[in-house]
Amino acid sequence: MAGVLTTSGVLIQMKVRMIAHSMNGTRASGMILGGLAGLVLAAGTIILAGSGVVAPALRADLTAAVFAVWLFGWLLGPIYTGGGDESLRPEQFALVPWHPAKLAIGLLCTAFAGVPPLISLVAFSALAVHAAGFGLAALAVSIPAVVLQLVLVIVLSRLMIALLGRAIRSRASAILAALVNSFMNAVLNQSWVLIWAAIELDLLNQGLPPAVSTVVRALPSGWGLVAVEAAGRGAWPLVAAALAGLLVLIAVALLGWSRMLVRRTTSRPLRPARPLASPLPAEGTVSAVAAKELLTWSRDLMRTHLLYFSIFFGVLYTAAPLIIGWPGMLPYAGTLVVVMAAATSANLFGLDGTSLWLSLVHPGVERDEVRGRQIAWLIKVAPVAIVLTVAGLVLGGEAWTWPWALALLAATLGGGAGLIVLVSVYLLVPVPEPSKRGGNPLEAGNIFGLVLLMLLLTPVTALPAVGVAVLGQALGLPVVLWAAVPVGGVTGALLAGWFGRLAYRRLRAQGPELLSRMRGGAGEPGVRPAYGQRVKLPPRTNALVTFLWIFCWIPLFPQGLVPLYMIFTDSPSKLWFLALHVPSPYQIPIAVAMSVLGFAMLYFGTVIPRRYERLQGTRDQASGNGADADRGARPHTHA
Amino acid sequence: MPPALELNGLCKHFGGKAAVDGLTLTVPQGSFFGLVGPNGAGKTTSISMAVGLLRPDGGSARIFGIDVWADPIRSRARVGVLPDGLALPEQLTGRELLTYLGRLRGLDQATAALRAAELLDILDLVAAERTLVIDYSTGMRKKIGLATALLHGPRLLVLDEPFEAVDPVSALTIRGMLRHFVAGGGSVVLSSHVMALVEQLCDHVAVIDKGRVAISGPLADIQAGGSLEDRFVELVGADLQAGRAPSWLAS
Repeated sequence: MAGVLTTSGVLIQMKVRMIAHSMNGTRASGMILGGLAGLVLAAGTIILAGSGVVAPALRADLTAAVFAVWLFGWLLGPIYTGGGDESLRPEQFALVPWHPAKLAIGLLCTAFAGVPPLISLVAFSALAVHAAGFGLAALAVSIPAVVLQLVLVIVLSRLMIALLGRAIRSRASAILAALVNSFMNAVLNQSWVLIWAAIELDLLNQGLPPAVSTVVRALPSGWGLVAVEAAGRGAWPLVAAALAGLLVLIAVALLGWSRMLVRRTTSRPLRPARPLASPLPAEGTVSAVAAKELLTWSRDLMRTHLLYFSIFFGVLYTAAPLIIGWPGMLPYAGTLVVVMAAATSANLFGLDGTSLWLSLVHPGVERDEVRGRQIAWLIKVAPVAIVLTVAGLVLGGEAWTWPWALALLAATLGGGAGLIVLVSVYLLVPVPEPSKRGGNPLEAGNIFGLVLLMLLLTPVTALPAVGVAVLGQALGLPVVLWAAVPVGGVTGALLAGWFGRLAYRRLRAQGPELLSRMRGGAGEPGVRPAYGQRVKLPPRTNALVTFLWIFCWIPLFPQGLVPLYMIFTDSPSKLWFLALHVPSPYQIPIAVAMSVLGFAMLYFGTVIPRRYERLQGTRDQASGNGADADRGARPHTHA
Repeated sequence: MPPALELNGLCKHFGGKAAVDGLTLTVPQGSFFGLVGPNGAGKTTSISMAVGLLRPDGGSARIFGIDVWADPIRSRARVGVLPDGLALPEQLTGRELLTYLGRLRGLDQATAALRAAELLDILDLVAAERTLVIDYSTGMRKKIGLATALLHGPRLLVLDEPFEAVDPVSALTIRGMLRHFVAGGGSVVLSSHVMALVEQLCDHVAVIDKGRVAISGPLADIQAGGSLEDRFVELVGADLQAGRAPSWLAS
């Protein structure tokens, strides 16, 4: 036991040192912002459980449901942050003579050193708050319950990462994992369907249906609550059973995880034998690049996983409202697939690791490299998206949705093909080298920010087409409405061309810097990204820019563009859209003003850092010359 | 006749620490040039800057008189590069990779396929026909990397640790190929830790230490009657501790 404690202590110290070494302004502010957002959620959980915001009949059920959401968050979170926190990797300890269980416990302990576990601890303390209403015994039970619940979510999260990583070692299982992954995401993202159903059924006053309250208590995240409630009633056997259940589940998960660790450190991903080399198409360097990319898309498990995730997500997301009998989202399945595929492909260059050096030593191929990648992406994404869109229109679309769906599809296909190359050269996220990945497609780097950015930017590329469609709808002219489709096609083609050009120009001008960035991420000894892509802003400006980027979306989408769309389509519901709650003459101006405000925030959020970057650039040049002079002088003094 | 490679006052700093500090070096055409130096001396950093993979903070690099950074396209068409430890398009087989790169270099389909086949044959990679590059061993990666450097028929080869992890038979093949290349008027720059190998192969040597050239010239001049290892230790190993070992190992 003492050995395990010492081991864990050493590992935690290692992790803390590593975090300290990798800390910079951006990461620190990200950590603080993430921590604050998490604290707000945690405080919300406590308030929900402990105050009279909701009716007492509902409170326990809702608390259990919220705990279930925290559990899902722990299970899904790592997928978006590149395989979870792996600052300490089991491979690094493969040669140390430890029992697997010791390594598992040690690594588990390091998992507690961080901000998210602290926040979850705060959130789970809602259980103690809830228990206070049931008397002292319940309160006493709640303390071990909170701790066990925290340990459980963390160990389950680790197990989940290991299982997914283990599962995705063949093409078939990569696709299966994509299905599971996209299903859970679609459920989380489409939870409004559940909320809608809740409002329809007046659940806030009636309490949750018995089935639901049974399910949220039966989930492991609800066992702590069960124990507390049982203690309040004096049902001690149930208390013991619930707490023991938590303990057993933790032990089983830990055992499973330690086995996965052994496998992970002693096996390499299996790849089946390949067919003989297929000849590349006959002419042109662009088609050569495209052929290479197509082979990579079908052979690389990470890319396979990401692509199929996008397809399944699009289908499941738009199919979810069928639960409440509404097929109206089906026509947009194809568009959603395109948007999601663009989002997951936004680190296209990063995924290949440092193989970028080949473009650098091959004169003048940057353009072909970018164009070939765009073509290959379109070949992979477009057919599926077109089929899904047409199928969705046939199954769920009314006549007027055809031009909308087709225009959006055409616009986002082109916009997406442009954005993926642009974003991946401008905001490259370093990823472990393909040959050094443990076969875990979740090791796609920390691309959560990129994905989010792309989910917002790709739809923006469809704005011209949407504008024409809105106009056609408002004027009641089918010709204008249908004109949105060619407009979408043309803007798509233009954006794909333009963004692609920006991308290869950047690649040409900044290729070595991009390579440095990748090497920095690949953990090459002694090589650190020498060129900060991001300049350090003064703290206040940094806070302002962060604020603008985080909050610009609220006026832009939910308070601006979405209400505008709802005004034009005469939607009866008002939800939380400010514009829809004011008398009609003011509705459009308010929605437009909100959109403009959102755009302005986005604009300044982008322009301010750029301006600093330019300033810094000129300053660096000036001081760089000075440094050269110093260096020139030094040899003489040494001699 | 301009030198095959000419580095003039190259500088590179990483986080305030100078990795390469005013490195100046001339590689004459037709020479077989060895770069030796202790770990962290700046060999890889210098090579990266010489071929356009890492932008220098100061100084210049010329290949056959053409500035690498001012005229990347013309200069890089004349050089073949084997970097150390960088990725390749990993999901291709060796043949696919070579054919693909040949096409990027502007070769037509038939020529690219022909050259790929010949290189795979010479480097003994035909047996691994169905293996993806990602599944190659370290030595195989070196060999396929060397093949990519030779594909377009450059006049200068810049090779970072080309013999590391390569089996003895393949090493002999590669040496033969490089000698043949130099005999035909080509120039080779290679870095290595193995003094004996550099002594056997190279006719020129530069010793790099602390980001600078400690000494450079024809091999015989550097050796000065002794062995290269002696000279190397003399130049860079001021506090050599050859007799020391951890105290607990012997007891």
